[in-house]
Amino acid sequence: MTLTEAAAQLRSKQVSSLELTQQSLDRSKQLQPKLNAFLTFTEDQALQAARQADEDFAKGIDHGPLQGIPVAVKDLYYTRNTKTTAGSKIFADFVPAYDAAVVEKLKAAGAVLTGKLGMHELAFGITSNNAHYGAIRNAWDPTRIPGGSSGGSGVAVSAGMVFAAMGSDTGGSIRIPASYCGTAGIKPTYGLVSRYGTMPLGFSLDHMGPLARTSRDCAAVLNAIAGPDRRDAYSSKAAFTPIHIPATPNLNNLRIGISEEFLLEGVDPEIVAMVHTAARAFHEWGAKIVPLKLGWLRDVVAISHVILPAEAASVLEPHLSRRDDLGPEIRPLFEAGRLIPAVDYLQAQKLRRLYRAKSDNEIWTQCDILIAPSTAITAPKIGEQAVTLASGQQLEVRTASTLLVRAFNVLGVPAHSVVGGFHSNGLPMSLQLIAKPFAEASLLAAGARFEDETGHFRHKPPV
Amino acid sequence: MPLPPTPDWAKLTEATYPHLTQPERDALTKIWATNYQNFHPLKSQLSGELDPEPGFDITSTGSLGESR
Repeated sequence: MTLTEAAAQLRSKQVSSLELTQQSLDRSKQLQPKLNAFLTFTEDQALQAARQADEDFAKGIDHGPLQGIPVAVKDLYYTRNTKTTAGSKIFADFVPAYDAAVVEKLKAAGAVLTGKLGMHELAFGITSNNAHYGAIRNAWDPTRIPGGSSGGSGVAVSAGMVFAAMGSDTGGSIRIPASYCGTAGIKPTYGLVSRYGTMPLGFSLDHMGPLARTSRDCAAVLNAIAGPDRRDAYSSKAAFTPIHIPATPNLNNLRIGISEEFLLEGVDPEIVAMVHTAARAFHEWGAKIVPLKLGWLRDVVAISHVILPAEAASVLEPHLSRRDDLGPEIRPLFEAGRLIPAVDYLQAQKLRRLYRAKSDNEIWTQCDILIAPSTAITAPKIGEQAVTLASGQQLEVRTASTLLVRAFNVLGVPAHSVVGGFHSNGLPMSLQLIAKPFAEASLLAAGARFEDETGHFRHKPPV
Repeated sequence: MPLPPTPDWAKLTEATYPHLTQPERDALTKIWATNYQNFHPLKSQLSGELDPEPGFDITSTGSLGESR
């Protein structure tokens, strides 16, 4: 059942929020030893919120589609009086005195928070193989990674523990777990969702967004959490217009861009075929396909390799003396970041402005939505550093996971992952849809049409 | 005289972190190779008058840093 379907059942009294919440908690706890998705359960608060939601329904009070719906948040969202570790030993005992802006908004919308989800340590990585809290495991195959850094969020949604989960995305950390776990997810436009009360990683690259079963579910969450917030210095001032996805989204004359250069290079051939199949399908549904040459996106990835370590090191520098409390995988990333010259960081931010203008001129004048894979491979095994494709080509796991997503953090544009199909190895493949700033509505509508027509999102992992 | 393309990462690392083990030093070397492999050639596109991204709103507060 999707979030949207659960919301309908709550309103038709087929189920109560208390029942949904108890089922959610039972399933999450039953699967916890196997998948390790959660760091903290907030059972008492959840049951209290569920009772409140049911009382509100009984009184005719309706705060919108999230009312009474069990959701969970990545453990870098501050939660008042509840531990917020960011998957780190350094913050193992950190108990915030206030809720993150997103948590405030979820609660105001009547959502039921069942707990805090595991993640890659300090969000600085893509495996979610956490040195302090253990490996988070993929529900499709527990010997494989769920992706990251929002690994717990991907697993919790894919295994049906919650209807939606909040993640964050600095270099792909929503779209990579969405890809490896077979869920939808959206990294909204930079500044659309407040970062207030979240543990930063790269403050000019951090995007807060949901993972859920479908595009429609993502839209429901985004409608609840988006909008200006003066407590976030980079929050957009523009008022947010709630997204409405029609029953059958009209794609007539929508221009869909596809680039063989860069976005389909070094990609598993079955994933390349999936993207081509998706392009043909969009064409059949009325869209125009526009070939583009976007090899220069590789330069944008190079820019992120300077901005992210420098910003991350500035975030964590007060704690870097606690070397032994940092996992061996992420420690050198922070230590390296400290040595990046200030001039190079600033030149990278200047280049970012140039490439944003280039994307306006060379992508968004040519197409409305760009399609690409979310990741170049399907979920690798835990501990695997490189994968070998059927063609014999070897791909490094970190690069194959991040290369196709990172540029869109630098450009700040919205990027949406949907289940694109299934690989012959049985694992999900993910289609990424990217649009110009603040075009979330058209992205989610196109994603919804794709899901309605293909039904790939209905496939469930064997847990 | 042309500027050197990058700082000398090996010397910089040694001066800043003299107590690193060899595997830790190797990890940093690999990061530098990745980070700067394609970045420096891009600088030829820059002019001094260009403002860096991102802009921030001076009327906003921003987080004040509770996690210590």
